[in-house]
Amino acid sequence: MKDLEFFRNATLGQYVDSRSRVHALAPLTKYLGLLALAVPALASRTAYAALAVMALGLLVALAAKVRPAFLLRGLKPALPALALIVALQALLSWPGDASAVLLRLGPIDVTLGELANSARIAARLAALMVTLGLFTATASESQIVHGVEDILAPLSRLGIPAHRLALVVGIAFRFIPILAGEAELIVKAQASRGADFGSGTRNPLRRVKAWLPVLVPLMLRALERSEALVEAMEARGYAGGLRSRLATYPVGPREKALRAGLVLFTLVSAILVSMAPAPFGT
Amino acid sequence: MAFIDVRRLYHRYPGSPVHSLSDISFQIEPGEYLAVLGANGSGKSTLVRCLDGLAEIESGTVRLGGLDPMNADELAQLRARTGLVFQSPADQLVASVVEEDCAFGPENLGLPREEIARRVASALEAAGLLAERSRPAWALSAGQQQRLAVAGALALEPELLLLDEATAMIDPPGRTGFLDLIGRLNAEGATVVHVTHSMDEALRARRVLVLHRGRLVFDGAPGDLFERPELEAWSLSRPVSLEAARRGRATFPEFRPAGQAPSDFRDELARLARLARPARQAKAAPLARAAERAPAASVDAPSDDDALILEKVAHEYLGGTELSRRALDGVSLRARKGELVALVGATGSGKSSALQHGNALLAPSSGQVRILGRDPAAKGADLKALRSRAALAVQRPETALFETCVGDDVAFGPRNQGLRGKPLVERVRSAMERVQLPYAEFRDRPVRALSGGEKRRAAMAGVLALDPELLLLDEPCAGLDPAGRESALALQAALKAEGRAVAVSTHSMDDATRADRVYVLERGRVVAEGSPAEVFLGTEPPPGLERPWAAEASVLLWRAGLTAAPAALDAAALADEALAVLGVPSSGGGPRAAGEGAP
Amino acid sequence: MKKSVVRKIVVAGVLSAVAAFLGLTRLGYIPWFSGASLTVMHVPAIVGAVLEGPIVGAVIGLVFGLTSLLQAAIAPTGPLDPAFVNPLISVLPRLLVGPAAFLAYAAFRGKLEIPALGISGIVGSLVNTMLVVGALALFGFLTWDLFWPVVTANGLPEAGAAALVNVAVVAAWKGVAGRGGKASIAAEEDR
Repeated sequence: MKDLEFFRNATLGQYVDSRSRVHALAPLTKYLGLLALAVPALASRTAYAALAVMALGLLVALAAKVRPAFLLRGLKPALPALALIVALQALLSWPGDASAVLLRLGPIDVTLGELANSARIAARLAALMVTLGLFTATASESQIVHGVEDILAPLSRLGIPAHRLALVVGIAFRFIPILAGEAELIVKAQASRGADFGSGTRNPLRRVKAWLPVLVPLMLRALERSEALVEAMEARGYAGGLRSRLATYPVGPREKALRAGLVLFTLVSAILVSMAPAPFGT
Repeated sequence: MAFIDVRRLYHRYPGSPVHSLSDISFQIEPGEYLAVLGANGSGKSTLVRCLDGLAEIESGTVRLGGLDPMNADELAQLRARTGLVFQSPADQLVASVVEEDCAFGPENLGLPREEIARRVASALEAAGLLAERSRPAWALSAGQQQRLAVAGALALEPELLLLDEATAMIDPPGRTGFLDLIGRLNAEGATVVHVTHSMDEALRARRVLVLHRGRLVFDGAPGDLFERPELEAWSLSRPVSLEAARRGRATFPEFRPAGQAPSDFRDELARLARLARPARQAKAAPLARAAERAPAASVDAPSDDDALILEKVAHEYLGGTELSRRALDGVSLRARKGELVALVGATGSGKSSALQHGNALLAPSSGQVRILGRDPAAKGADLKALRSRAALAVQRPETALFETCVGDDVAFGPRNQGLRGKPLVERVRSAMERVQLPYAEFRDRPVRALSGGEKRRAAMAGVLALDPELLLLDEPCAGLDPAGRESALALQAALKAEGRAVAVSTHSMDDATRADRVYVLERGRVVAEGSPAEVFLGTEPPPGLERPWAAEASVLLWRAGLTAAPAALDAAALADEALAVLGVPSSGGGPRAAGEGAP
Repeated sequence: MKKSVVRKIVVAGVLSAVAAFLGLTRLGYIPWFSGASLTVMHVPAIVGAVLEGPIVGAVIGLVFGLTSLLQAAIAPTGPLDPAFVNPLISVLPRLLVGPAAFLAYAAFRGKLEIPALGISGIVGSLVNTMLVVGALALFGFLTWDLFWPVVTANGLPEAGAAALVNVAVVAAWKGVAGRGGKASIAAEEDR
């Protein structure tokens, strides 16, 4: 019987409240920090650059009193996939690759260029994972939502309702653990009535049909709960309009400077990193 | 003008041929504490929604503090002065963090930050949640979440609190905390309108409205309500305390306990006993010690009749992660064919986990399970076939309804068993008839159109349609009105009488008295077991729980020297005991023991 | 059901949570044959669009796209995951799934509810498949000559799955029965 305990997987990263100065920063600042690390990681053309970004991220983690080992541990479950990616990249060759051939495995050539490429992809992913892990470790759920609101706030002048979108994100976050509980209940109920979730057939449509007894009630429950939540929100006076917010994040001049610095860093490093010569013509 | 003024209110759901509310009129003064009773579908929730502008009024007038909920401008003001708490704790949470959720209301009013902060702090304090202010809302217990909903309402500084079956989904300890909070708020001046189908909760109010099929049939004091003969017709029942007193009054019209507590019953009985036979006090000496034995702890030798055996079962939930905990820690229990077994205990004590081992949904981390003589952990065990014969109904089974039509959903189970054609139809038909959802009427009915109670019955039919030898029911009576509860209990008794084994988990001690055997669970362990008499009438109450009302009164009578040994588990038996004390030979021949079924 | 902006916001949030949840727990991946799986994570966007309109569908698609991006970045499990870190591949196509489904539904709703739901499921799903595969090809993760093979091999069954789920959910939600309003068990009575 497959693992019914959905709570295991229903989180996107762990918040660690270590009360560092990094934690005390405003959500918008944290988002800028995220960009400052993610953009160079994505734009990097060599493995070294990506690894440098990752090292930088681990340093910030130290400042945030988040143990680097904790972040690196998150890489573990992804290692098999990383290995697979690396292997696949190494096996696919592309025209124009003029680098030296390292290995010949039957009909397949493994060139230096391919190796460099796969190393880069792996390093990029690792850097991203560390960055995102760091972000979720230092920003709590409500800060993430408030950050969305703050980022979108300027757009409200263009008529895009920032606070409504932020509310959508907040509700989405809050519902995920609830859905985990519901899914567990539903799967158990259907299994108790003899459902086998399509383990006996290869026909794709049959398989989908076998999952309907879980997918359908899950979405129906979601819709039912929506009705209840709509009533609760309306009863508390929400009608989609403007509202104030309890949480504030006062930003002093130092933090403003930090923000400017982060933006600058993002731009500069992105440019530098993308201008670096790619090894072996990749 | 009264604070709440309702005149000739009519409401109809769009497309419905009947009115859900007809000609409702009543007035409520500020500061009143009012309960609204009625069966599922009587219109009580609709009434609350009409008051708060969540449902559209067809005709008639509704005014709250002079404001009209059908007027968009006045509605906003009205909602700023009204706090509404709904039934489902998790469905009212808007934000992830307790503090933030509480602030939602004032934020909608656009109040300045400092004002919001002040209101949130005082609201959380009043609700006893100040210590939890930074915690994630989903981590609170259901009872705490409901108190958070109240705090969220309090942050609006409302004059009126509307509670729509707000206690239906929390366990007894949570309920008490919640109701105490409401009582305090009422004492401080808030008007409270509490829609409920718990008769005990209605007793806390000073005035009761009863709705029946959309009409207002009673408006008066709770004490008067429970004297009315139409109670059953209105799908209501009497709280055990009043039922017992009433039976006593049949022979002794002056039997009127001063209050609702078991001690009041005892005091009144003692008073009458002194009047009837002044010498009786001296005869109180021989206190039988029979009831002091510890609850029986042995599990008898296994027999062919054993449908389910758990032996020293331990189960670790989410093993290997940070959230792991021991759901079961060495539980041993058994259920025999033709027997009704009850598992009682607080939320989190392991009842659901135990039941889920009963149909091999969960495998024990250690210990042995035998289901209908088979070991589910054995190699090659056919779990699917086993689950056909040992059927589990999860909590709130109606969440798993997925087909459009009722008939199809009930057919899901038997279809998976391989039934087709006429045998399939027969199974479905008989299962549906058993739960009072006649096949002809409900086969094509859209599930969506069913009421809450009907959905629960449809889900039960889906489980019954498997024709199982062992039934595992997880809180089958949760959220049902008295009529629904009685039907569910009657069904359990019928299933048992057919020779099936039935194991249920419940929060209600009164429900547990109907079982043949009771297991009390606490933190994953069995801390007491035995017949209901053994568990509930011992010198100590079962660990962590309260005795059923009648049992508590019975024990108090024994302690006061009025009876030889406590033996009553329900109102009728208690009344018989009391009458025996007063020298009246009981008609039924001795107090009734558990399992004989309450009247 | 009254139309209200609060409902749109809540439905968008809740169905987004469903999409994210299906992705995170891999419940949304229905194993097909070894390796490949059919995904149904885009179906909430379709359901949301049909029930509450194109904007809600677009918002759900947006959140779904972001979740798949994050998941590819934090917990990659397949060879194509690095590609999904690019928002133009993971997010942009998903934005259009809801509105496309809505248009299809609105166009056919006059005929009959259930076929309209089926068609909108198919359309929404195909938009998802074609735009994602197209983006993958644009950025060099696939060669263009693989476009149609992948779309047919993966996209058609997914479209069928999406239609099935969409019909089942919306029909049950609105209480619309098929086959002339009768339960399918009625057919068993004459067997």
